[in-house]
Amino acid sequence: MKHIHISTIPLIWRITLIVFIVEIAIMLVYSTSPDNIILWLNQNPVLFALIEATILTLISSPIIYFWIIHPFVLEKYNQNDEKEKRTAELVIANEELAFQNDEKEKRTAELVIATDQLVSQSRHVVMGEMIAMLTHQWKQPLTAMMLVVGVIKKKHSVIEMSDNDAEFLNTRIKKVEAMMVDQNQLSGSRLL
Amino acid sequence: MIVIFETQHKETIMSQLKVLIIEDTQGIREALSDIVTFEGMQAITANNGQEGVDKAKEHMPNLILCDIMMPIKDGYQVFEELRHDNEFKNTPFIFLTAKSDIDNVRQQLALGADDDIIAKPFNSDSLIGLIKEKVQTS
Repeated sequence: MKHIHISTIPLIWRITLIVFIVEIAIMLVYSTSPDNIILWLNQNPVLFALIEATILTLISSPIIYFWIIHPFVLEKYNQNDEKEKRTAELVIANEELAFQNDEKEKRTAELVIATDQLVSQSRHVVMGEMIAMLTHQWKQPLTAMMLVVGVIKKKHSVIEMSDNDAEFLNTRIKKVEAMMVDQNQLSGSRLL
Repeated sequence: MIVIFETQHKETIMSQLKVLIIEDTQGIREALSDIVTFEGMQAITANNGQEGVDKAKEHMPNLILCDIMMPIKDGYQVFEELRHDNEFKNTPFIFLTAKSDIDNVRQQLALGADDDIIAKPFNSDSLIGLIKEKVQTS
């Protein structure tokens, strides 16, 4: 509803105007009255004042009510209604903002948790890659050593030597193989 | 008498086999060459993927032992290049890898029936057994 502001000064001017016009009208009627009535009224000034005040009140009151008081009251009522409606809208808007604020806080908390998880996962990935690289570098020389021992074993099987020398060599080869098996277990894999 | 004849025949076949070893780690490459030679096969060595491809085309090996992680060209690239060459369509590959996730390597390579992967570290007997198996089936 359109908001109309009514100040009190124009209201006073309107009332003054109504009283002024009605008073003129009464005076005009008085001046055009028959002489015997004018004479009677002049002889009873208190009664004349009473009649004039009564007529002024009866004529001006309805005009003042319908032209000034009633629109003023109606406007004030509408303004209050508008205020209540606006207040209700503000309450709803406030509740909506509070809800959005809660949602934002919740989302922020979720983002913080997700960020922490990503950082943690990233650390695990880096550690995993580093361990894989170390394992790879560990396996390379181990493979070379195992193959060299294999070559020695094969050569040993075709070279003629005394039983003591053969036993000595066999024992040492087995010791080296056992050590390599232990080392291989560190890399997490097993010998074929 | 028949047994001696069969043994001699097998030795003759083995001596005719050429095995190409593509491996960048010198110690492993030399040891593999020694083992293959000891078993009576002819060893050809290459220390990177590109050299491996070149030597394969030059010597036409019966079997290729190939590392996965190598400079210039890795095992995947060597396999892809030689598999697209009709001359090597049926040449068995044995890949040597120090990677832990062999299943992943196997998926990436899309190996044929005669190809295989052996995980490092491995011993000479396992390797020779695998080479003989692949040579006999191919």
